[in-house]
Amino acid sequence: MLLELKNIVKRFPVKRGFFGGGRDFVHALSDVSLFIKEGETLGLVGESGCGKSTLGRIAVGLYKPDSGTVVFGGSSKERQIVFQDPYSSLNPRMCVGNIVTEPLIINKLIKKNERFKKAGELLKEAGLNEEFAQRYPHEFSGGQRQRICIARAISTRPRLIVADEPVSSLDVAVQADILELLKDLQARYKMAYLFISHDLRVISKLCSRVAVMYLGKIVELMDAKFIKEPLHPYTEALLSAVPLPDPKIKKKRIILEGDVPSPIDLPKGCAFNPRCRYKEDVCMKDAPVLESKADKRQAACYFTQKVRNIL
Amino acid sequence: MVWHQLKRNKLALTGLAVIVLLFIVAIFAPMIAPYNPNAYDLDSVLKAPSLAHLFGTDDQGRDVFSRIVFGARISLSVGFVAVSIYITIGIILGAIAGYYGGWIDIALSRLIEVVICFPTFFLILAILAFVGPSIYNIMIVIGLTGWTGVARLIRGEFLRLKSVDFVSAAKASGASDFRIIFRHLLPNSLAPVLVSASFGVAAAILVESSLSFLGFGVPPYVSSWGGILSESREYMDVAWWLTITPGLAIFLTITAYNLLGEGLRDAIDPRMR
Amino acid sequence: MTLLDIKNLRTYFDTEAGLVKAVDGVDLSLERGEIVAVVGGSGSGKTILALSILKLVPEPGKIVSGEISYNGIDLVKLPASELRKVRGGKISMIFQEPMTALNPVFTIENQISEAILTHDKTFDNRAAPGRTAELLSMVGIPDPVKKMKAYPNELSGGMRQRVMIAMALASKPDILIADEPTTALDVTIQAQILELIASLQVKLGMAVIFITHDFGIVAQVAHRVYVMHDGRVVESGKVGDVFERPKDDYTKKLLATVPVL
Repeated sequence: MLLELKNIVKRFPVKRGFFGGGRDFVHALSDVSLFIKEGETLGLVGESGCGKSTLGRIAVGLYKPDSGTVVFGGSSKERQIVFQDPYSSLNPRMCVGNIVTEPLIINKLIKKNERFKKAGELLKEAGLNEEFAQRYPHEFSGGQRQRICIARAISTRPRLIVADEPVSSLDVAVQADILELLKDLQARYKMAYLFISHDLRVISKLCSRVAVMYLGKIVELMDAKFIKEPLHPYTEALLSAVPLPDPKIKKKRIILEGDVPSPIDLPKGCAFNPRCRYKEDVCMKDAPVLESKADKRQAACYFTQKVRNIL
Repeated sequence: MVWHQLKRNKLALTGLAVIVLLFIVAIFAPMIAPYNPNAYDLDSVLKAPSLAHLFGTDDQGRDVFSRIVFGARISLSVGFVAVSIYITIGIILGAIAGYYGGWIDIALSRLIEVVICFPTFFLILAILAFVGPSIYNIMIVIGLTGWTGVARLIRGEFLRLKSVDFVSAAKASGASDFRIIFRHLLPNSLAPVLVSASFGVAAAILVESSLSFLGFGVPPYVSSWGGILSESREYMDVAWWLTITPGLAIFLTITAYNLLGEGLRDAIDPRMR
Repeated sequence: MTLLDIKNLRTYFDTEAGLVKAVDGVDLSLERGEIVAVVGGSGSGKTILALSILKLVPEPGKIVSGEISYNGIDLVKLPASELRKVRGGKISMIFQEPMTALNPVFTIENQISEAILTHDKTFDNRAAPGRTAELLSMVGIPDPVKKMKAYPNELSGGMRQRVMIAMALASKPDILIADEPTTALDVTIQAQILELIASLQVKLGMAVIFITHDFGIVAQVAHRVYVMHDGRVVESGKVGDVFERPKDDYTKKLLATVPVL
C-alpha cells in the first residue's frame, strides 16, 4: 500500500461575527478512508464542497487531519502535487528552469551547477522546448504553464502525484494534450496518481478506480469499468448530468433538485437525502456506511437496487 | 514590465530625472559648488544674485548656491539612510507577523497600532531634544519611527501570498520556512514597498527640513536647506533669494519623489495595464 | 425575415502589441425560436462576437466593418440612445460569472424591478414586485417572495445564475445571448440551468445564441452550430450534420478531443 488514509476527519473553523461567539465549522471531511497501491491511478470525483481538494492536500502532506491516520510509504519528496490554476502555481519572479528544479534543490538531489541541464531534461519530458528554462512564467500560455508544473512535479521521480483538477482551467483542445502527457508519464514511470476532478469524463480516461465524494464522504468506490453502472443515487445523477457530445442521444436527464449544499450545516442521516429521489425514512435518520455491494464495488446507500442504469 | 509601464508616465519620468540630477549634484558637490559653503566673506553680505554669486550671498557672505549644492547631500543622505533603516525593520517585522500569524501576529499588530498612534514629528523632536541634534541622530530616529507602514504592507502581502499555489507547491516539496520567506514571499511582496520608499524619502526630507527650520535639526554650520530657510526669516524683506532658493529646492525634491512614487504605484497596479 | 443577420462582422483591437483581429469576417444568422450555439476554444473570438452584437466590446476594441441586422435594422449604425432600448430589451444577455453581473449592494428585487421598469412599460412601481416574483418563479427559484429580498452574496452560484436569467427575461426579449452561462457551475447545477434555458426557450419562443466551449452542451441543447477559430467561422450547420460529418479539419480535431465516457 503506497498511501493509506484511515478515518480522516478535517474541519475548518468559520469565524462568525466580530466577537467570534458560536463557532461554525466547515466539515470538509467526515470519516474518509481510502488507499492507493503502488502505480495505481485513483480518481476522486465530486462537486464543490465535497472535500476532494482537502483530501488531496492531506494526501500530499500539506494539511494535517484533525483525526485519523495518513500512512505514506515514502519520503516527502516522493509525493508531489499539481494544482488547478496554472496562473497561481508558478512564482512569477523565478525563471522556469529554477522552478522545475526547485524540488531537487530543496531535497539536495542535485548540485547548483547541474541545475540548468536538469531543467532542460525535465522540460523536454513535459513536451516543452529546453530553452524555455531561461524564460519567466508570464511568457507562457495556460497549457504550457501546466506542463511546467508537471515537469516540476516529476522532477524528484515521485511515487505518488496528486493532481488537483489539473485540466479544469484549460481550454478543451489543450485538456486532451495534457491528459495524454499525464498518461504517458504514468506509463513511463509507473507513478501512482490521485486524480481529482469534477468531470467524470476526464476521470474515466485516466483512472483505474474511481471514488465519488459528496459532502465530505466517499459515497461510492468502484473499478473504473463500472463507471456507467452506478450504484449510488448521486453517482447516477452525476453521470446523467454530463452532456454527451452525441446529438442523437437526447437522454432524459435526472435533474437534481436544489443546490449543492453547504458543508457547514450537514443534513441529518445520509448527507444526500435532501436531493435524493429514492429516499425513505431511514435515510433521514441513520447515515449509511460505505460497504461492499458487489465485487470491486462499494457504495454508501441503503437502496442501491433502486438505481437504474441510464446509459 | 514595471519599467515599461513607468516609461509612459511623463510626470514620473520628470521626477526621476530631477532625482538623478540631484544625485549628481550631491555626489559631485565639491566640483560643482564654486565656493566653499562655509567660507564667509563679510564684505559681500546679503548680495543679490549675480554672475559671481548665482543665488546671491547670505548674512555672513557665504555663497548661497554652494550652500544649496552641499545641502543636497544632507537631504538625500537623510532621506536614504532613514528610509533604508525603516524598510529593513518594517520588512523583518511584517514578514514575521504575516508568515507566522497566531499570537506573534496579534502582538506585532498591536505594537504597530501603538507606534502609529504617536505623533511622529513630536516624538522625533522629543527624542532629539534628549540625544541632541545631529545628522546621524535624525536619520536613526526617523528610521526607528517610520517602519509601521512598510510592516503593514509586507504583512498584508505575506498573508495574501501564504496560501497561493506556488507557495503550497514549494511546501509540498519540503521547502523550509526560510526558503519560502526569502525565495517566494519576499520577492513578490517588494513592489508596494518600493512605492512606499519613494514617498518615504520625500517625507523624510520634509521632516529633516522642518526640524532644521525649527532649529532642532542639523547644527547651523552644516548647510541644510531647512537651516538656510530658517536663517532667511530675518532677512525676508531684504534678501528674497535666501528664502526662495532653499524653499524651491525642498519643493522640487519632494515633488520629484512623490511623482516617482505615484508613477511606480500606477505602473505596479495590474488594473492600469 | 431572419431575426438576426450578422454579415461580415469585423471587430478589431488596437493594442500596443499590434492589431488583434478578434472577429475577422463572421456571418451568422438566427431565426425565431431556434437555439444556435457558437463553439470554440479560448481566443476564438466567440465572446467578442457576442459582445459585438450589443456593442459592448471593451476598449480598445471596435467594430471595424460589417452589418448586424436585427429585424432589418442595422445595429452597428444605430445611435447610442436607440441602442440602449435594444440592450436588455429585445436582445438580452447573460454572462458567465453571475457575481459580477449582479450588483452586490442592491437586493434581487431591486435589480429585477429596475430591469422590468426600464424595458416593460406595462408595469409600474406597484406592479413591479408582483412581476418580479413571477419571473423568479419562472426561473425555478423556490419561495420567490421571500428570496427577492435577499442580496446576491446570500445566494449560491446556481441561484444567482437563475436571477440573471430572470433579469434578462424581464423585457420579454426576442433574443437571449448566453455567454458560457454554465462554465463556472458544478455539473449537476449546470444540468439544471441548461434544462431551464431549454424549457424557457420553448415556453417563451425566444431565440438563443449559446456561447460555449463544451461540445457536449452543443449536442444536447442547440439546433444549429457555428464553430469558430481565430476570429473566423470554420464550419456551421445543423448540429446533427456537423457532429456526424464534420467537413473542416479544425472541427474534426475539436470533436476528437472531447472526452467521452
